[in-house]
Amino acid sequence: MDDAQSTAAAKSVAGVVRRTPALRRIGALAAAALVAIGVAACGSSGGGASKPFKIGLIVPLTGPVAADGIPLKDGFNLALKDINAKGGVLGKKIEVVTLDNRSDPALSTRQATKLIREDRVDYLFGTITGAEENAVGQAANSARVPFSPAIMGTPPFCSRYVWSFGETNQMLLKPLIPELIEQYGKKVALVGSDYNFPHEYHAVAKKLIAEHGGSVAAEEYAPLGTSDWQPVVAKLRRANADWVLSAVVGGDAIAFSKQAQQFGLLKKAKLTGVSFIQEYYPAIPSIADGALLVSRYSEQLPGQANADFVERYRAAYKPQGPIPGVAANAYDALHFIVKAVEAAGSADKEKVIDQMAKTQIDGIYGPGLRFSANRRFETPMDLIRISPGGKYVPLKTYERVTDDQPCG
Amino acid sequence: MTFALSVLTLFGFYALLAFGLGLIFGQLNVVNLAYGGFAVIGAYAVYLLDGLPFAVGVLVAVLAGGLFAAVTEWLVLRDLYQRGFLATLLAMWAVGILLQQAAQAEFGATAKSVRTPVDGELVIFGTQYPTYRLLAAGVSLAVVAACLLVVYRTRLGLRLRAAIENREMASLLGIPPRLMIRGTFVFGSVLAVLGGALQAPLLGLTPNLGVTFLAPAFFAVLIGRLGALSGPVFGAFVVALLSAALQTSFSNTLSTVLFYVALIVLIGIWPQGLDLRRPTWMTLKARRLPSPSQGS
Repeated sequence: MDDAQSTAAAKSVAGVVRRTPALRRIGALAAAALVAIGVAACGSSGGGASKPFKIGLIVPLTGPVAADGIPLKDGFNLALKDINAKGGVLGKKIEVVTLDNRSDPALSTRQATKLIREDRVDYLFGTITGAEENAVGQAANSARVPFSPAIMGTPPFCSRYVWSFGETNQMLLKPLIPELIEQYGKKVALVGSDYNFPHEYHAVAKKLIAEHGGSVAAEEYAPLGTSDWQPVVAKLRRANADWVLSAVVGGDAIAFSKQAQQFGLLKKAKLTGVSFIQEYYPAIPSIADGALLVSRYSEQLPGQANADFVERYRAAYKPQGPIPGVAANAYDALHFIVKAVEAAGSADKEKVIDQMAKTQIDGIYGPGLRFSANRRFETPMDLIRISPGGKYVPLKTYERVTDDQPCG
Repeated sequence: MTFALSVLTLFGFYALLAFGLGLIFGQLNVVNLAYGGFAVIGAYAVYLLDGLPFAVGVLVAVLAGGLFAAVTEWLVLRDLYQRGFLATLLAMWAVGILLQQAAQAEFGATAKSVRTPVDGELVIFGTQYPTYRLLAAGVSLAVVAACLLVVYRTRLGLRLRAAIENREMASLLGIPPRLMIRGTFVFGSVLAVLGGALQAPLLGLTPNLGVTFLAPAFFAVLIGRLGALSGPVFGAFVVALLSAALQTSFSNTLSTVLFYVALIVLIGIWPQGLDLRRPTWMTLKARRLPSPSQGS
């Protein structure tokens, strides 16, 4: 933003310079210098001995996963507004530099490096796909800057410097698989978009299905942006499974669900998985109604913290559909990070990380939220029945679902 | 049978897009990178009019898309033609980005859905197939067939082909170049709008949808014989056949890779496009040329 303001100021002044006689040029240049100094001063906000806490937000605001990137940014900014209104952290307002990585891992690496070296950020936040997360995680790890993603899925990068606030695959699947095998049957077909998250999600699912006496009849993936799902649906139909676990995401989740119904797959098999998370519901109500799902966030979660969050998020960003879980994750995450920084008493990165392991907050998901020893953000998870009107009604709450995958 | 039907449905959609794209490229020499964006206009227009009968939604989408195309041609392209191929390509790229960002600003990045106007399945030679897909393919192919009839069997088509062949000569013969150019751009774009509108009930609508539509249409135009308006339609058939065959035999991701590899190889082997006609030297000229013995 500062760059844009400076450029605009410089351009307007350049326009003046072109049209004025020599003497007035000096005045114009002086004015330009003053404007530039003014803009720079606004950018550094406040001055003083210690610099403000600075966060680099790398997030896909355009491209195939912008539908998750934008609410992540909105949830983050809503928390930022709260925190800065109350004076920020360590006595200064938090500064944020936001960059659109267009879901491009190579661009994410360059942006992370720029934020670390040039902007000298104290913390990195954001990313959606595993490839972006891995890119930023590597850069953060080698520069020893803490980094937090907030999207669901097991973090692909394990390091002392990476603290993911997303619900992991084990948290999503451990309660769900036994429930579905009991209610729908033992023969399962797996389908997903072809990138890290769905493959990892299904790797966990396969293990759990085997543990609970089920079998996998088919496993199919298609690239992000696939519009014709007919060949995949045909293969799934041939597998003759009792139920289909889908990790198809984004607009593809809608196309897949509709085409699965049109080609008769859902006449016999039940469908569930991350393709039915609440933000996709308005596009596929008749297909999702009645399905069982395990999720962390829904707008129907009880508690005052969630009620306040929903009200303020809706007022600020006016989402057309349900609020995505990643927005709630990002909101709780920033509150958590700020509490850890306050406890550390400085922006010193090692001290902040030490505090990340000890901090607890009362957030949207309930009281006493904290990281486990293997750096998983543990929250209650709900078994949900998707009901008409897009209500994700909790049937059963699992107070703390652990994830035993080690993280060194 | 399912394979044949899936080729048919893909062919219908790709043929519509490729014919429009080829028409614009042939007449205007403009590589329309905003073409997918026009299809997105069609898809979101029927989403906005989801309460009305589907056919009415499609009609309004086509009219609105046509109007937008006319405005785009007048505002963006009118003075750029003489600046050459690259200027118009970049300008249309910008229009494409504008359309994508406008869709994101208005509808958000979360996928939207249009209800299927005709539910149920038809049984064709013992194979069940979704009725709407067949209907959409039928409408698309009928429109393409009508377009080809106009191009090759009417006076308007003759003028169009004349203007593509040699615009200066055509204008000297009284064919108004300005009108032909604007008319072609609007009509070609309208075909993309129609394609997007017809596909909308099968998909989740996102602002990026245009990119998905653009690649097969471009390849279809490249594969078809250059300079012939029927070329892209034939190209669309090759693309549809190849895509369906690969997806049936391989995993979806591998088939996508093989699909593009095969298309690049095809274009490498036949840079002028696939031409099924026998070369002239094998037919007319060969017969007319006197044999060496006659000459001596």
